[in-house]
Amino acid sequence: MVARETQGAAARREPFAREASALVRERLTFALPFAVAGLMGFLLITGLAGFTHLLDRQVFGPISLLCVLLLILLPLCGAVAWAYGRRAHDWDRRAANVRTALDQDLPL
Amino acid sequence: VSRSPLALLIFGLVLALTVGITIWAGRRKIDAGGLYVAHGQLTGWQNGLAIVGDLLSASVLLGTVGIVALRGIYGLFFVVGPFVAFLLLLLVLAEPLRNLGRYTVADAVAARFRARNVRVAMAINSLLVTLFYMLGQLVAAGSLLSAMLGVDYRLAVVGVGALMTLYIVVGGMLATSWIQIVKAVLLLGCIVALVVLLLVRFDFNALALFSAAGKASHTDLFSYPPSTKSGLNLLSMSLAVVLGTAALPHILVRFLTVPNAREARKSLNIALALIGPAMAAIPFIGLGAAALIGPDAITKANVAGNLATLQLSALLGGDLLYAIVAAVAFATILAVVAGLLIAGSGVLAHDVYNAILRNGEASEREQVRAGRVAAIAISIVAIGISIAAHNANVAVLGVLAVVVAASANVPILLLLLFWPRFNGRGVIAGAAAGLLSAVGLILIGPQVMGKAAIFPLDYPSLVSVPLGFLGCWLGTVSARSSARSDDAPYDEIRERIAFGSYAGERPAA
Repeated sequence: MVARETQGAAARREPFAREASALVRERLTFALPFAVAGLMGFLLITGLAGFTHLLDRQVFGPISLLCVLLLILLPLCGAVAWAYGRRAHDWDRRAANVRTALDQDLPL
Repeated sequence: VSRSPLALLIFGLVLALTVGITIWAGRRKIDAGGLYVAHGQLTGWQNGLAIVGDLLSASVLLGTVGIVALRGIYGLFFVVGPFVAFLLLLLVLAEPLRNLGRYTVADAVAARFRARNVRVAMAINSLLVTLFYMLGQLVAAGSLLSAMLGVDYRLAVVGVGALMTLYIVVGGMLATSWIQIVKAVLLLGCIVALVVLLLVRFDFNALALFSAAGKASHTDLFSYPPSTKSGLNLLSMSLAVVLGTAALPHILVRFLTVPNAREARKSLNIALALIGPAMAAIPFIGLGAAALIGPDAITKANVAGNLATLQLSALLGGDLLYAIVAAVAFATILAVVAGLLIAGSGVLAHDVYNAILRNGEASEREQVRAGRVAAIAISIVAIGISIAAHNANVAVLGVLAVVVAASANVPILLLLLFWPRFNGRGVIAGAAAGLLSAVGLILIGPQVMGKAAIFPLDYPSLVSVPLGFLGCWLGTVSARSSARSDDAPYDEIRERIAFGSYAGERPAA
């Protein structure tokens, strides 16, 4: 009897575990490439500045290319944050559905 | 740098404002949740502004402006690095940590790994990072205040230490957060005023400003001598600044002061939107100081250029702007050390006293008392060391803080959230590898040994961060079984990361 109830509870939780796994995977699939690209982009600019003269070239009067690149990086980061925020609304909605289902003991 | 009555008056007003906020916050009920995380009831806007306050410290307003004024736009790496760090926090760490943690970073780790030595390892790392960072800020604060107000260095350190203790003991996280919020607004206002007044001088022609800075400087502000060593140093520094900022305990604890993951995300979005323009303004202010004040006058006031912002304020806006910027710099120092103190006292009282020594059974009253005693104890130790280390190289303390945070905390937090096989032994091995390699390599590096250095890099993060990951991996794979019986299964952690807590938004301890 107890074993059957335990199996039943596990079966009821199965969809929630699947949804959790899907949500975490989707978040990572979306966020990780941007996070890695952001870090690598910054390190690339740092590396170019530290190892070469490429970024020292004067492109707009006295402003070096480095300055331009870094000031482009700031709005790019902002754009990624904005895009992430839009996607995250969908994840919030799905997580809220799951919480409601769990709180009220409803199927997902 | 003048010490006019107007400056002293505005100093006094800002001080009175922070004390007023503390008394207001202290009148509310303060239990453990109130002391450490303001009951998790800050809104996204409030927390976002508080994060801005945490990041825009005196080292940015005074230190980075000085670096740009004297050494050129390569100081930009110091301001862009934290911005990239916040992007990483937003994308990867903030929301999961909010869903797992309660009062401290160690809580998030303990949610998955229940062994006591895991919490000990996390507590040691968090406490050391916070203490290193706090000592650097206190020594710099003492030096700056004695220069700005003409008071004795020791008196300045004791004064700042006493004020930060008062904020925490009386007002807890709520007072600290509101002081950060007010300070962030004032600071952003000062930055806007400085940039506008500066551009007026150059008829809103930024190129003319850059050109004037280049002509006034003895060195080329727009280029950098490349070499293998300087390239590796720059790369290693950038890695430390990005990863270290993303893993500083006093920044991470900010995500626990909001009610849910959505507000944590909103607060980071607000912080990014405000920090971006503020950071972009720093090179203008630095180059403006180079152009209008000149490197000789800047180094005469302070060898590192730490007073360049104040000198520029006096030149552009007279006594009034100087007084306001000086007072805001003072508030900045106070707010940042208060934020550090609350993070440190949370570790000592919640992780060490309650969770480790009392097995999590201390009453609310005992926890609050322990939090206050911990704040006083950390303050006394920090004040004592800061006075003794007056003439020491404080830069090394800041380096230690960010490198240890990057090397020990980042690998653990990432693997905790996303590696199902990770285990408690991996946490301990990663914490030890990150901490020991970071401290060891700095001790034998140029920051401590100068020209006799055995290790060539100022910031050893290119080596110590991979060693932190390696430690986590080796510890994990060397364990006989992947998890202890009392560890939470990864599926449960994944559900908490994805959905938050089921019983309301705040997870159980």
